[in-house]
Amino acid sequence: MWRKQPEGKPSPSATPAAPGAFAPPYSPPAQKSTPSSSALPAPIAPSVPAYSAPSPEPAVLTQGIRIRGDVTGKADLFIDGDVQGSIRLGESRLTVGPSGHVKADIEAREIHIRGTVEGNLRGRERIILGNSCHVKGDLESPRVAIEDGAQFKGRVEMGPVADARERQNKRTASAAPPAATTTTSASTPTSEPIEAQRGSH
Amino acid sequence: MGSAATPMAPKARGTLSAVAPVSKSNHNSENFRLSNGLKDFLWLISDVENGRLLDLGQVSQATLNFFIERGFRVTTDDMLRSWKEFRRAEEENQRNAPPSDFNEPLSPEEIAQHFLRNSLQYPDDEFNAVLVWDIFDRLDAGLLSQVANRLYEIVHPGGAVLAVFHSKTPDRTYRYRIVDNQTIEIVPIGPVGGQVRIFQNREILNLFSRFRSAKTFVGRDQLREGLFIK
Repeated sequence: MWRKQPEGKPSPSATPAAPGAFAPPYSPPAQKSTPSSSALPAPIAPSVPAYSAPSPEPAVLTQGIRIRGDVTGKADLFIDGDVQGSIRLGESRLTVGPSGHVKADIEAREIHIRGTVEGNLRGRERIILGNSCHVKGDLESPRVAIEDGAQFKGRVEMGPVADARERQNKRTASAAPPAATTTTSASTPTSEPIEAQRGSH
Repeated sequence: MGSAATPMAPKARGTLSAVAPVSKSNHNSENFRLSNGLKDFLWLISDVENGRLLDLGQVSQATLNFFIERGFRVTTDDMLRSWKEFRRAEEENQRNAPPSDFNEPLSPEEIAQHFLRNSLQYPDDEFNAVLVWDIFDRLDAGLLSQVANRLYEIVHPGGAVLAVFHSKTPDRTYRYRIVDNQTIEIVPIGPVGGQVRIFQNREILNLFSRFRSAKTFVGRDQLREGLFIK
């Protein structure tokens, strides 16, 4: 009825990961195939490869989840729960949902706030304050977009946000021309958020 | 403070009053108003380098961009909302407090003092420019002089404050946006919540009497602009 697993040939799930391959998030622990397991049915080859690239969907902290401490990582993150501490996502995107309450300094590539945040925000690329947000803290990013209805108290600085590594890269590649960017004129009032960019001086 | 502000050219002392024509400028909507107060305000701060601006109204992308593009560091502090939230919390506390001789209701001045302990707490001489919009029309009486005094303290010598006052009771609440060098967009955002005080010109000047110079502009659209220089 079940095809017997050939001896000496481990099951796909027991194959060690190739260098550089990613384990899928939340994958169950791999079962070891032992000689005694020959009586058991061999695992059916899954239709989805066991070692696929990570899903592009962000990690989610849903309502009711509370974290106190430092959150760091390289994946996009959606917070609809309660976080106190600090959040550093490097090159990833952070979204605080309408039910999210964050009391932390935040550093990420892109920060989109629709909930409540108390802390300083540093967005390497952009910060977006949605119309339902309550933000108390300073913003620092090359681009800041604020929707009508956003509640914000703090200082805004638009300009390049560089960390130590980026500053080092800039020194080594100082001759490289600046990347082309789109600048939207701020003189046309609109209910849609307008993005502006202030070039470095 | 840390800002390398260039002092502004001193303006003539005294009080002037001018009539600012209401114009639709290049914009079609009636919400756009030509503002002589804004024009003078911008002229006063035009020489400031690396200046700091405080916007005490609701945050506006257009206003933010306008000043950041001119090299200002902008701080936004929706003071009226903070005040309303503070009052709500105070009333809630009063309701929930157990009846006691020690829980006497606070006077308006005491409430104002409590509020200002956590509000407008910026270093002295911090800002080269402050946008007040119409918040004075909506603040409680006990808060007015204290806020005006605090404003004086946080403005850099030579710095300017631009305020807007309604000369007739408005039927709506408005949000203000700077569109260009002489145009303000006045966006109605809802019904008037609470009382609106209508100031006489003399009352405005008394309120800002500590400032070196005061100038008001009366518009035909029931708005009066005040420009005050420290």
